[in-house]
Amino acid sequence: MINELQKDLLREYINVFIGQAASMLSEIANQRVILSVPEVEIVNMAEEEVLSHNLFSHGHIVSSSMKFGNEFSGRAMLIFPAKKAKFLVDACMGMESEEVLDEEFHLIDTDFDVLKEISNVILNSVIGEFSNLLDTTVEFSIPDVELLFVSESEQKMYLKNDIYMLMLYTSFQLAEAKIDGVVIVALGMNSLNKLIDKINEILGDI
Amino acid sequence: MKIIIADDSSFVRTIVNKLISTEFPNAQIKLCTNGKEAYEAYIEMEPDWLITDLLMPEMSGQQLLSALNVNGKKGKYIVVSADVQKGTKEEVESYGIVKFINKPLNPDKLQELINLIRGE
Amino acid sequence: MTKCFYDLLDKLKIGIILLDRHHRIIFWNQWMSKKTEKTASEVLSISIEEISPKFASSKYSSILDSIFETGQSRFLSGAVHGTFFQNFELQPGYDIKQNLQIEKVDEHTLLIQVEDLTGHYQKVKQLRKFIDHLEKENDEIKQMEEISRKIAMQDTLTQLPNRLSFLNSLELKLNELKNTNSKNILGVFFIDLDDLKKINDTYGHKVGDEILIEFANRVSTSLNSINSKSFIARLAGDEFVFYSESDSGIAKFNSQAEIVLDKINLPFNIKNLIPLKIRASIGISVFPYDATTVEDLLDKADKALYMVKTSGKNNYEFYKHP
Repeated sequence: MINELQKDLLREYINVFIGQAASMLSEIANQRVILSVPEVEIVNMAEEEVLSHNLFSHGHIVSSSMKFGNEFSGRAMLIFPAKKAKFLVDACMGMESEEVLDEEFHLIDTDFDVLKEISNVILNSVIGEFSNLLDTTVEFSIPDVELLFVSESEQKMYLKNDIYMLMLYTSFQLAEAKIDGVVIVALGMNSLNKLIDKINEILGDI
Repeated sequence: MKIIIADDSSFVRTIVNKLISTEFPNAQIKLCTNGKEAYEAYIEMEPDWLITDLLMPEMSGQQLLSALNVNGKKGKYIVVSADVQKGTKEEVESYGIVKFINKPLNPDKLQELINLIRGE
Repeated sequence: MTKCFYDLLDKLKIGIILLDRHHRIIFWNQWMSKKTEKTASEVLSISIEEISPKFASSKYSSILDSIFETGQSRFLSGAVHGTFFQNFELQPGYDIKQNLQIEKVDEHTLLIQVEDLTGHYQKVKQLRKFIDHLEKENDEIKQMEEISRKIAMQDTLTQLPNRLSFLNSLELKLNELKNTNSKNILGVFFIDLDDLKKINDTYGHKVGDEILIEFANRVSTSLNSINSKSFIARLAGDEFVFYSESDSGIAKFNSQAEIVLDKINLPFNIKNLIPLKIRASIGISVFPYDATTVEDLLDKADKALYMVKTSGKNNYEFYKHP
């Protein structure tokens, strides 16, 4: 969909967006947060493309989702393994985490509140900055957070409604915990083109 | 004048390289894609300036600066990074850098970079 | 019409606050008044930092400004940030669950929605505590049952398995041999200590008990070391029993009985006393020759024991068919 050079530029911008998200997260968690985006991919869901790895971790996941709109529109999601969610929440509340066994999640209502806040911060940064990059206004709201079980085969179905997905594979590191997640920005054709046009414009200037 | 530019993004390397070559046509510039390459280049080249990112594979910017410190290399370091956290800044400043520039690199920041190298 | 809407805002079960660019309150609904005990007229035109000290810190004050700037909504969870507005309707010491949702309405107005679920959350917490308590009790009961079970199956003094345990075990063993059509035979040995009553009368029960414990040790150790696929238990008083499996005929049982008698005949060195000697009688029945059920085997072993007791003791005998 896009070439290496375009991908590189996109990744560079995303690192900046995510860097800001990390900074805000670190204020919430009162500790250093290392947030990196080692990989960026654009996937066309209509074609059964082979990806470098699974769309996202299957099994129990925490998924935060919000629609964003206007000239640049789509859906943004933050997905990470439910097992790790507890670590993230505890770190943000300044609590020590215990090792969590596979079957136990023990996410209570306040945990979901914290997850909502974390997703809010991260997605705000990403979408907000995308809209700045594109010089458009984008409206969006606070994300909805869910705990779901998605089997390996269901992954694609979960994202089925959206055609182009900008997959930002992220890795958060706070305290001892390393949490791998993915930010997915699902875009329609128009919005994707706007983005690619902008990237080309910037590349043209070099 | 010898300058090393270290960043895993080819986009950033290209921009900074282009800028410096234009402003300092006689400069000898080495481009590195990670901290380890930059470290080895530093030992070999003994550059006047090192412009480096922090989040890089193989060896991070922090590790690079720390290693240079440990080896008694004194040089002029400029850090260019998307990591805007206070803790990061403090850690990196302890290695004796000239300036910490936050990404994204816009025209103002690029100008600042040039000014620093010029010595203004 | 406007009055209608204001009334509606007052009916909402969440707090509604509107702020201007200088963070001054321009609207404060009834929910907020009820919870904070500050009426709208008291707070209008006052900056939020004065009403809620938390907002005075630069961290939160700058969040308000950045929402004006970027137009991005922010969700602040009580779990992370604590309480923004003191809720006077609740008992102190409750874990507060108060979330804030802040968004920009227009260039001059910021909307804060305050959700306070402390009361509900408190109930959930109590329920959770109650469940934890029940689970703990359940665990304790299980542990007690385990201990009772052990007590039921074990002789306290010698720590050997008791009668119940032995009968169970023997039953299982017989079934195993029968079901697998095994060629092995099983010997059941009744052991009766001959002189224990005399020792108890002469030296007291404490000494008698020591001898029983020592005896149990000696026999079970030697049985283990022969690797005789055996199981020993204390039946009662001075009666012991064990069974032993043999794949090489009766000869093994002979030597086992002799070893046991040797062990018993070794002096017992109880503190402060001269070494004591005791004797024992052993009666043996064999599966499948003499009997094939638990009751029958025990009965025959008992009869064999009787023969030994009435013919000099300190010996062993196999059951003989009349």
